[in-house]
Amino acid sequence: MQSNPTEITQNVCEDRLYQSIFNQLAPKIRNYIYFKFGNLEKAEDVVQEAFIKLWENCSKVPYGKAKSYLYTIATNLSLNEVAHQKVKLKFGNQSTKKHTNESPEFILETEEFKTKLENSIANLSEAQRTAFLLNRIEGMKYVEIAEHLQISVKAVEKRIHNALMVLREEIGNI
Amino acid sequence: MNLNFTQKELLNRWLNAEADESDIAAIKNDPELLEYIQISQAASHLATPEYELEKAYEKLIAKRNQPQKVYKLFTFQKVYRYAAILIALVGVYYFFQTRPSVIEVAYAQQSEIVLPDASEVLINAGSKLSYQKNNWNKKRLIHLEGEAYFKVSKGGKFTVQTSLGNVQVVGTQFNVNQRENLFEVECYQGKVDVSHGREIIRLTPGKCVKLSTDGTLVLSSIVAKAPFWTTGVSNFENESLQIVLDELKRQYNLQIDVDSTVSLDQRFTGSFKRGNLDLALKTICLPLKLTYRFIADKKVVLHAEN
Repeated sequence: MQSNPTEITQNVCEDRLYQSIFNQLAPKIRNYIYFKFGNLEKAEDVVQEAFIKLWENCSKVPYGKAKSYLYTIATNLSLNEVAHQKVKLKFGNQSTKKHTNESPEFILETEEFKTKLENSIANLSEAQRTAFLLNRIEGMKYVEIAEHLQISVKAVEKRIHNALMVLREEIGNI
Repeated sequence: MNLNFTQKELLNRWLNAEADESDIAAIKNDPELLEYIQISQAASHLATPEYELEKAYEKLIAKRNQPQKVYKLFTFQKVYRYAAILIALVGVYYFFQTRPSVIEVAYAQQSEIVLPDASEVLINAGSKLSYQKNNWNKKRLIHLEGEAYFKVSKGGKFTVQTSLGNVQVVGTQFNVNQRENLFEVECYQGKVDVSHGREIIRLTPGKCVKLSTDGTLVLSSIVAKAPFWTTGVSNFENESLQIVLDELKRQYNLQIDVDSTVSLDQRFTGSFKRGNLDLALKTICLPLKLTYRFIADKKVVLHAEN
């Protein structure tokens, strides 16, 4: 989040500021909840609810705290609503490449493989899937994920490695 | 994961987009590692469904600007709903717990009950009595409409409420008679406090009190050891004919029509017995110079003798 010194102390009751926070964070939170619980519609509802809560409490939440406030609210709301539902992930194909140095010439574009991958990801544990997808799709580094999930970098590494191991077993020989 | 330390480091560097040329070369020479990288690479080509930011923001603002109360009221309604059910249940429970015991004695009958503390009550015809059974030993309170004779066992305060006044005792025998405007208490044992409005009179054995027509309590004496009615006799001391006939109706379950020639205010002193209607009618009519005539089984017309 960019932090303009005057904005740090400002609360988020101002519409322009509120919208900029929404533009920055809504997609990230939506994806995060989606990765975590695998229900797109609910994830978007949760984002909306979280931002309404932010508005209701806008005078109490300074700009600098908005991000963690939103994540906390969204997580709690989804624990109430989304948890215990079947994880059902559906992805599109990303046209733009995120990693420039991903040399191994490997583009697995068959629909069959994609479906297999999606299903396998859906079967990962919540912790594994969230860490793995934050890294792969959101392009977050271990350190960022660790900070975000409030766990150690070592734990992030372990979750991602385990995720990869499970995926490799499930998908089998490529 | 069976990777060794170096392999893990390579994998981590690649996943964090920190791999350099030599790392990538090393990965390409390691078939196992390459599989992991390929899966990772495939995963990073997945895209989350598109999020229409502007549309989502419009929807958010629309919902945000709805009056908040709509949402809150909805939850309150739920609370109210449960509260109403709870109150209803508590109410029903309370109703059944505290529902008074009611004893009604029909015309031409008498009834005797024993209260939870072994006090006895003899209830005269056409009377109604109610009390709280479940809290009896803490609060001895009886509502009475009509006439009853009480033998109260010792204990705390014992109160009889009527629409015309209250009677309070500790342990005694007494008779309470309240019919329309008539209010009469006779004390046979112990001490009895009779209150009417602000007036309180203490009765000792052999005394009785009666509400006079001007609304004050008048004290007088009795001779009997128990109320006449409990022995099957209804007794009257200078009572109006109206009161005498009312009692006759109750004791015999009778309908009485009175001719306009008969004054209901005239006084009667005497008694009648239960069990013989003809005799009872004669006892009342002879001294007052009245005649009676049956027009049906349980219907009598009274008129003055010419």
